Amino acid sequence: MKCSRVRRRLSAFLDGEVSEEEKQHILEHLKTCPDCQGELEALHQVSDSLDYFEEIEPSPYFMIHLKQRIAEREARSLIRFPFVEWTRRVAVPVGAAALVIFSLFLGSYLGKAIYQVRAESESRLNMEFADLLCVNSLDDFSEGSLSGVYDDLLTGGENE
Amino acid sequence: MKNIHNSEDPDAKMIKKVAEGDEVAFEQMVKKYEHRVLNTIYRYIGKSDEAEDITQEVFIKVWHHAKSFKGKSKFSTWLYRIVINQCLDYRSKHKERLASLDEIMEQGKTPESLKVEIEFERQRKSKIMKRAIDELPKRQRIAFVLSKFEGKSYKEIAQIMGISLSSVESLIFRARGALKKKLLSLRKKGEI
Repeated sequence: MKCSRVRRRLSAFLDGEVSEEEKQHILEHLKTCPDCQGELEALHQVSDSLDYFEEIEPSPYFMIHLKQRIAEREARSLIRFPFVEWTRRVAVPVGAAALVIFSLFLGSYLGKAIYQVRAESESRLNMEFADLLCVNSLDDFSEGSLSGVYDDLLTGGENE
Repeated sequence: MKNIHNSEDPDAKMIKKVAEGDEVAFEQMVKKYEHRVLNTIYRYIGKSDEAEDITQEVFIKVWHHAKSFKGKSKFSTWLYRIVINQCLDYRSKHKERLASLDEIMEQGKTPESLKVEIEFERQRKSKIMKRAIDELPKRQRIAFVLSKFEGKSYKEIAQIMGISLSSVESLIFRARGALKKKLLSLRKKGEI
């Protein structure tokens, strides 16, 4: 085994995470390679240094505090629960029905309003159109001349 | 109904009872794991008060979500996933500046009396170790803490972290390399 390969596997070797076969290869290599032995020693020193990392103990009241916190959370969720249930069972269906009814009223109102506006608009247009066709067109004729025009049309101008 | 709990998991029966709301089983589970969970969190965040608080949050989550444990992994794997998520959540919310190794070394130079010096020295070294681990990138730190302090196998760590076996090995290899660099330089100076 090459040094580079051994060094990459030394960490796993220390943790017992290499196969038996690979372990034997690494041990064989270490016997003859002082550099890799030095690397292994350095990694051991790291592990030794970690022993300074103190352990802590749970406080004597750990379980009591834990149960208190769970009880508090459950009490809060019980307060919320009826409201959530009420919302699910009553408020949502009632709200949905109200929304449908409101939509129907709104649709009906808007329909009427739009129809009325359109009717008024059409009426106004009709009047304007009638004005344009009849009244305005006849503005060019002098008073009383219209009967003469009809007479001419009916008699073919025989009166002249 | 098919029993979905892993029959090889020694905690399978216990967690099943916890899921059914059995408080005695819950207490047994807490007693079994509180020390290990507390110290894993402590080694990850480095503060004992907060570590206990987070440990309690972990067990509250277990109590409320035990029903969602389907037995696809060992209970301890599922538990440590919660632990790691809580730690990551804590660290993302608390990004206060951490004292550097040099600052800790400076603090250690003024013990008040000979009697307290030994305890002071032990605490100083402990702080140095905490900080050295704390300075590791978070994934390296998680993998290293689970391996070194919790004795978890690479396979278990891979399951807890949701990564491949080779990634676990790589993370631990790099963590060891970084710690070696930091700690051996301190050793050469006679600081630890």
